[in-house]
Amino acid sequence: MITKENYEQHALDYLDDTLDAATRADFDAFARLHPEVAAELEGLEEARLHPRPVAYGGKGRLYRRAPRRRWWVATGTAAAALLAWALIPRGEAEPAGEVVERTRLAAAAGIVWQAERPVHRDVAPVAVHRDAAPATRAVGRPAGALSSRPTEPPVAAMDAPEGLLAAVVGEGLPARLSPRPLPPAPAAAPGRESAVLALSAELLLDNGVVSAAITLLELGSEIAGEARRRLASSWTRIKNNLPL
Amino acid sequence: MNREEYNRSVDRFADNVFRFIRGLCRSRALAEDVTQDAFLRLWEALPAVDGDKARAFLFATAYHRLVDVLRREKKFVAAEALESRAGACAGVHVDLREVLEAALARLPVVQQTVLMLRDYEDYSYREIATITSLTEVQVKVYIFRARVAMKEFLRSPDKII
Repeated sequence: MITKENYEQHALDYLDDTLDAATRADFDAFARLHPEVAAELEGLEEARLHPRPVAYGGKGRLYRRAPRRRWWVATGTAAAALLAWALIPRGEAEPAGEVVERTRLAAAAGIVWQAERPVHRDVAPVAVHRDAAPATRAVGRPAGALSSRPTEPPVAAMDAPEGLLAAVVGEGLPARLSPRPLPPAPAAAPGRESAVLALSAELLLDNGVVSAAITLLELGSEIAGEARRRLASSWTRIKNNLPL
Repeated sequence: MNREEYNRSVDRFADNVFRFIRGLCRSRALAEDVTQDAFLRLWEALPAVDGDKARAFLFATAYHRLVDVLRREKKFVAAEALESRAGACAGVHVDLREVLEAALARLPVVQQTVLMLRDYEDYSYREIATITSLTEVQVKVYIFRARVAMKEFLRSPDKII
């Protein structure tokens, strides 16, 4: 039933001719009884909007482009880094076998166990005076329990690099613990190479060439110091920030 | 929906969304902001939006965003306030389209919205109801009232030279 209260919701369907036959008949009857409604319906097509062509000028800001890889910049950066790496003067590399042999610890053949009696643990330990006593005296053992043969200094067999011995016995090496001299240092400071590596990796990351940056970082995995911290930072960027 | 489909949506719908919002708020700057915001929301919701739903998503997002802004600025006018706005627009309109747009500007925002979605974008009543969160009956009533009001405006001799 079409009434004054609900005719508006049927009016458009009436004009669009989409009402079923029964409802359309009801609406016709209602319009005949209410001429003001019939007048309302007349000429409604005039009030149809005509779209004006409008161009939105900000489309350029809306497009989403895939991240561009500035490969020419990255390639140039990588080439420069590798060239710098190749041009850095460095000393003759010592063969790995020689390093192993030079740092191998040999057993002290001059050390013998002379005391037949068992070790008494209640005896007060004897302090070790590295600057005077032989370095082979064991801490916590009774004095005299261990002795070395005077003709063959036991520490002479402990042939190790200076750094390793210093790490083991600390400062003040006894005079007999003089290690074999190390070869001269390389002409170029390793820190310089590390810095080149770190800078190159950062440049590559900035330009989106992740794979090349990873290769450089792997090259520099053995370096230390500030460059190592920068490389670690680059690794973090790779893991966390880059859309791989 | 993927990046390519999103960019195609920019090509196909950016002008329409902008025209729709521009017609409602009469502010180019606000229309640009709302349009940009609608596409940003679409981009953020990209995996969850089907390609064929992008248009409705954009119009609905833009419309509700505009309503939020207008409400915040206390400019949103209820449908029943049509009479209070009558006579607010003055001026001489020589072009039929200008007259229609002037008549449109007199309508409450909700009537403008449904009328533009119907006439400009050719949406069905059901789709308009979805976009505007109204019922289909409400949409039909608002469009009918809007057309009646615009027809009366067009037939007023003092508005047209």
